[in-house]
Amino acid sequence: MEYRNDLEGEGSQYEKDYSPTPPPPPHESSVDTIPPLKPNNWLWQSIVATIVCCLPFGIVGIIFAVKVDSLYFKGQYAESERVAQKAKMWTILAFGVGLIYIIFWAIMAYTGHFEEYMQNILERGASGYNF
Amino acid sequence: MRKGVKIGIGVVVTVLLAAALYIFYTFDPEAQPLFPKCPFLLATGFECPGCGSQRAIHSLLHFDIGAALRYNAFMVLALPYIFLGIWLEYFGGKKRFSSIEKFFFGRWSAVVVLIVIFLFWIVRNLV
Repeated sequence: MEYRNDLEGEGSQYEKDYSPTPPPPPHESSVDTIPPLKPNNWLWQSIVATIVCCLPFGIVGIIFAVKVDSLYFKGQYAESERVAQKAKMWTILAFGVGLIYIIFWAIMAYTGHFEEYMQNILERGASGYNF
Repeated sequence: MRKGVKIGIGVVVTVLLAAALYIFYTFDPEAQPLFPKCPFLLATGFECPGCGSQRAIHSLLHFDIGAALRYNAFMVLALPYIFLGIWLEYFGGKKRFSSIEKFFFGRWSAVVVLIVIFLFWIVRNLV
């Protein structure tokens, strides 16, 4: 009878009468809880972004991946989960920016400005066809 | 519904990947001006950790591993690691071989990857 009152309105009235100190919320007792699964740190995805999109955003993703792991193994699970979201965001951002750059390049290639643009690049001393 | 979306994404990714592989097999990024160049290289004159990936992919598709390593050694060495990650995450490797995941994607993996990338970045611009 005493144990069913957690979820029911009538039961809480019952609890007030008989147990003056309510039990602590379950998620605050961190000692005995089983640790949650390690959040996905998007490590290999951000490596792909770094290689393919050639922009610093992929590296930011990897740095957040490092943070996810170190926070998780320190036991700060909620914080780790939060940083994992950031890792995800930066990795997707890296892919997005890379995609926009490729589209920009394609437009440059198919409009008349491409030749002079290339000339510009070569005059500034960048070598060859690098990515 | 969710499964349908997942299959749809898988199909789109596969088609795009196949198209990209076909383009990289057919055209040589060294000779064709159509391939995008690295904005970091254009801006600074230094190579970034991803520079040379397109030429390396082209070389790899023609089984010229030596040339691929010269263009971008990091990418060539990272490929197996990436494939391992894909397999673990999407093809059920994680459930069956959790020890492999613990070893390759465990506590220090991200730190090691970060250090390797920065070392490669510095060394390739010095040599």
